[in-house]
Amino acid sequence: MKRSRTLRLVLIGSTPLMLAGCEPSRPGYLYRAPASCIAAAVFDRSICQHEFELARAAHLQSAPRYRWRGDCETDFGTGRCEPAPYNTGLYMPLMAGYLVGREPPREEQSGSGGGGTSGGGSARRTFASQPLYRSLDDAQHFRSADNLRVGSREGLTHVDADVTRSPAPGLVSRGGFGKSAARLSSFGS
Amino acid sequence: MQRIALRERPDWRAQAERLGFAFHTFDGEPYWDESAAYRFSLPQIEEDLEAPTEELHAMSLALVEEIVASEALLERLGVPAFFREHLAASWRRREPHLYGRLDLAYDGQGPAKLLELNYDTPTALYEAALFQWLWLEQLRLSGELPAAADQFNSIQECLFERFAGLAVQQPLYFASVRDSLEDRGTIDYLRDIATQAGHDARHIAIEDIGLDRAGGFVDLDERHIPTLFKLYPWEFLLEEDFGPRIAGTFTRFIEPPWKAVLSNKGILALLWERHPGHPNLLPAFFDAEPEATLPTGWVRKPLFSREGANIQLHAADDLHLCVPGPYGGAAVRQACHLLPCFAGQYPVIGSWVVGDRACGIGIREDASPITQDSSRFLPHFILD
Repeated sequence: MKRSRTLRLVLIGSTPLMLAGCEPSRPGYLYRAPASCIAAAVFDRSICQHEFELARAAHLQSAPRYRWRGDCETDFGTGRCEPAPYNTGLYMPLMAGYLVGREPPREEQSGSGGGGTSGGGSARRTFASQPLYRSLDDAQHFRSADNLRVGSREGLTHVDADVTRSPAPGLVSRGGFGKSAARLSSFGS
Repeated sequence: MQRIALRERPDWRAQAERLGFAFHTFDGEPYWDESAAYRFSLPQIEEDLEAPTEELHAMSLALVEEIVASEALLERLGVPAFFREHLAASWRRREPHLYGRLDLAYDGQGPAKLLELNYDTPTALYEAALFQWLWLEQLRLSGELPAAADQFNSIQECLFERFAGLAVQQPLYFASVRDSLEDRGTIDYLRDIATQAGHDARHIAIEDIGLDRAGGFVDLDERHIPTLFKLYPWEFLLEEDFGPRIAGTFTRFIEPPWKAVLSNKGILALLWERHPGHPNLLPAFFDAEPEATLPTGWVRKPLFSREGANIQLHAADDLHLCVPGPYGGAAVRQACHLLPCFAGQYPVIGSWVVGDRACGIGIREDASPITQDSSRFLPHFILD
């Protein structure tokens, strides 16, 4: 259960704990890569590319970490892991896809722009686009960095609100150390 | 071993201010006190302090091996269950440690007795390593002390060598509590030495450490903290909000997690159990009844306590001391061995270990037989 343990730590971290199950699922669009997003023509090229970059940035921050490449590959497959950033000596899985948190432009909006490609620029954001992963033990599904199941096919999918709630990259909680400071003036001995 | 009254350098306060020794005076009371100094012979230093320090250090490290392999001992020492595997792994990897201080009772004759180990957050470092050294140099130059006078103190040199050999991910952060002038002085000093030894040494207040989305500790600019020297007790870190997260981060700590078991007074009982009758140890046992009245001839020390707080001492019917403080819970009983008394003052010898080498001493003196944070630091010299 190495993987879920790591993910649980990520989940507890800075994510505000919210009540589960009281929010409806949301629509998102799942793609393996910008190319398949562009080919699907739901969003235009620039959105496909831009949302991929955002998901990629979130991936660098929130992908599950492993101390050894072998442990990571046990969960995600041979050749499916990469060194984590910060030069920590750790490993994390490759991004297997991304979930676009935008609504496609409506027909009447795109009409004036002369077709789907230019009208895509008005696609409204619904949530922060997320990196997706595929583990060996559940290869047909894409999962979020928090190990929540997202979907198995490209295109429109409905996801739990939990999946869309990942905070923006870089969100940091502070003050978790030092509370005992009130007890003594100095901590040397 | 003698206590010798000496003339103070007229400008020592100004020098202290210039050299980062901001805590030379504490709450209006002197902390650095050079109105007197302790004199030792070379055999006293080498045979009675240096050699036993290295032996006690080796005995303590041997105990770590045993403790990390034993759930029962980790439990007994109060190491939280969520941290035990991480602590043991840090020992298996032999994560490097920097320093420690053994507090010894010694009167110039007979074996020094180990009162306790300060192996996690030892302080009184700067004054022992640097200001004491400077004091001797200047007294030799002025003729107040003979040129032959020496000092047991290669602490800074040893720290430099230790840092130079420390292969850790950069930057190396140094953290202490924001509002402690003394602790800040100590880590600024260490940071200075680390910088000299080639590290990218940075400062962060312990309260400012952040935990990012990826579960890693970060600085105020949200940069990962790969290596963290913390002048803050392990037992505090573990009971605070981020404590349970430490094992999931990739930050390497100095002192490493395994040092936590050596800054615990329970180690005194375990040392005695393994080496009963050792000349440098005092009989010590886990206290089965920490609330019971302390019999004559014993000292009670909570497993976690600092600066003399919560220590009870019952030397004789007319000498029963109790220091108030915030600590409680499990404790050890140690046979009462009073500090020697020189001119009405009780000196305790802090014997420094850097890496695994004994490399100097610092003396703190108190008007009470229990050394507390109100004690003063006195320099020493060696002259046969």
